Formats: sequence, C-alpha cells, structure tokens
Amino acid sequence: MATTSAAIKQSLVAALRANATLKAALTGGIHEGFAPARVQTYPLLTYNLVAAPYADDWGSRMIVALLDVFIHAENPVVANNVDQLVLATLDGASLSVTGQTNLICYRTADQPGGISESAEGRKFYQVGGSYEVWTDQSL
Amino acid sequence: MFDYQRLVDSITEAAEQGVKASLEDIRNDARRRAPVRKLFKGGGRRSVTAHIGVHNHAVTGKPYQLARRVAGLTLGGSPLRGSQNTSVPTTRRLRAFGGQRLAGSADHTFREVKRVGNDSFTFASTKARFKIGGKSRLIDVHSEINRRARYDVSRGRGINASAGGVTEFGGTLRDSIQVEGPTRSGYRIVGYVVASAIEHGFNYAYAQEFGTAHNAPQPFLRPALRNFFARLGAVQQTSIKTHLERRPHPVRLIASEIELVLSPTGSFGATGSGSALVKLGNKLDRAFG
Repeated sequence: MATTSAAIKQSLVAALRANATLKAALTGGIHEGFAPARVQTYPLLTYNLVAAPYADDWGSRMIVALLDVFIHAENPVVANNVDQLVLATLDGASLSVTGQTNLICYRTADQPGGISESAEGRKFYQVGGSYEVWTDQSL
Repeated sequence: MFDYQRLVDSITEAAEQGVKASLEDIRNDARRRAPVRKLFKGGGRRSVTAHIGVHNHAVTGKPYQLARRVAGLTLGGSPLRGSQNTSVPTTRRLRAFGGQRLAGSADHTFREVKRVGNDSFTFASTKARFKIGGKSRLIDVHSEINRRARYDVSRGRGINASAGGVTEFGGTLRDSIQVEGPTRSGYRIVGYVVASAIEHGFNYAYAQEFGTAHNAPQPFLRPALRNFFARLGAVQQTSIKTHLERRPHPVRLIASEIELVLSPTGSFGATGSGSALVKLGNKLDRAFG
C-alpha cells in the first residue's frame, strides 16, 4: 500500500522521541506547525512539512520531503544546544517510514530564526534547520 | 568561418532567458501560495467557495443575485439552500486567498478600501463585480466579511497601498514577491525571487515561511521552488543550484535563489560541474576543435 509524506513526518517524530536526552531537554514538547497558546514551557520543538513532491518512475515512487525543525527557547544558547541534539539525531539517520524505504535523511541548511518578543517583554529565540528525507516505495 | 564567441554568446543569452522565465514561474507559484489576510467568514485557509444561485429572474433580464435570500451562499460550510424559484446552481470559486487576485469570476473590488480617518479605513464598496454567464454583475458580499477583517480595516491594519494604484485589504506579502535579476557575470547567471513584507519594522515573510512558536508556518517560497525543480528533468536539476537564504534585516530577508553556472572557468572546458550546458559546450568544443 502506498503511503504519503505523513508517514515521513511520523518517522521523524519517532526518531526525535527515541532520543531520551533530546526528549528530556524538550520540556515544552514536540509540536507540528506550532505550539498551542497554553504551552508556555520552553524549550519546545516545532516541525513542519514544507514540500514533498513525488517523482514517479515505472513501478516506484520517490518522495523528497523537506521539513523544517525549529527549537524555540528563551535562551539562545539553550536553543542552539538542543538544536545540536536534533542534528545529531536526524542527520544521517535511518528513519523507519511505514510503507517506504528511507534512502537518506540529512540536514540541508541552518535556518537561523529570529527573535520574537511577547507582549510581556519575554524574548524567544528560534533556531533550527531544514532536513531532507528521501524515500522510495513500490507502487 | 565558424564564430565560436558568437555561439557562446547566443547560448549564454538563451540561458539567461531561461533563468528569467524560471524565476517568473517560481514567482507566480509563490504568489499563488502566499497567504493573504482572511476576508470572509468561515471557509478554509486558502479559499472560499460561493455557491451562486442563478435566479430564474435572470432569464428575464433581472440581475443575478448572490445572497442567502436568493439561492444560498456559503463560504466554506455546506451550502445554504434557499426556497426560491427553481434555479440552476452555478459554482464559482472566489479565490480570496492565494494567487490570482480574487480570480474566478469576480474582480478585486471587494478588497478595495478607502480612507476615512488618519489611520482608519473602510471597505470601498459593499458589492463585488462578478462575471456570470459572460455578463458583469454587482453582487453584495459585504455581509460575508468577517469581524476581524472589519476591525483590521477600521484600524488601518493590513492595508496594501501598492496594489496597482488601488488600496486594498491584504495581499502585501503576495504583492511583495518579486523577481530580482537575473544578472550575468561572465558565465554565471544569478537571479532571485524575493519576498519582503515589512510591517512595524518586522518582515513577516519570515514568520509566514518558517512560523513561530505559536503561529503555524505557511511556506510559500520554498514549495514553489521545490515544485519547479520537481517539474524539471534530472539533467536540468543538476545544472541549476538553488538554495534559500536569509538576507540581513530589513533589506531583503527572504529569498529563493536560482543560479545557473554555465562554466565556472569561463570556458567550455571539462569542469565537472554537471551542467547540461557545459556538456553541450564540451560537445561543441569537440565538434569544432
């Protein structure tokens, strides 16, 4: 059965959660897209699927998914440290993607995020990068 | 006699045109994907669908009407069916979000605003012009505008004054997406698709492309770039280098770059760049010595 990029996201999160050190560091949790407003504990991680075009061949389909993974923290040093853990977890990782064969997962670029400020004057630092996940599946 | 330089120039010229066309293609796709302030009640994030009931009166020359009282109008939810004369429902998609400005069959009139105070605006018209059955009709859609949009307009937020001389609500980010270049330097051709929508000193193209802790990202630039390359063949893909980069605030904060290197050494030698054009150049080299 053919699967979509949802399986890739699932495997990415599974890989992140499998790293106990990273999981413990992310006191604000892991969220898709954005964290709910009630989550005010930092650092937290957000991930988002940017694009996942298909490249179909005779009998097989390759998906090249681009995902952003960001760490949001109140301290830039913490943000960078946790981002380093994410890099160590995902860069070159062999993901277990349901219905697909993971060819490669690697970091393509750093995305040095900006600094945002809440109404109360709290500053938040966003640090992260883009990851490319290549998978193959038979149709 | 074979004019080698002229041939090189013509290839370079063609490549530059190709890069330019590619950039425009990416720009158009990015504009279509770029989020625009939500205008109507309910509905999805990117578009709303209006079910336009074509009233029987239209047959007799009276104007078509779009309203709940006629044949049902829904913006996002299930259609509200009226109890009017037997009608021929026609579906028109109001592309209020994304690409073509409110395309489909309506023009942009329902996003137009006018100034009523120092920092206060109001919608210029309560009606939008639709083309239905080849005829242009004014239809009242004002009642479908959401409360947030009314508030923003009254406070002068999200006002886009540069939309072709027309002041509109929303679309600043979409209109800011432009092509820069391509510029040629020897055999190197570089161009950018840039987005720079600055409000209160902050370029919110960033926030839309990458998201923040509590705001979901709505990437528009990179998906356009990716889809463009997905449409290209493998050979062209290897010949074009791309990357997304961030520029120093606030000049140009977000850009997709497309770069075509014909030959890093400036000659048609074996450079190993994998460029299709370099390969073509090598063939020409061999053919013409």
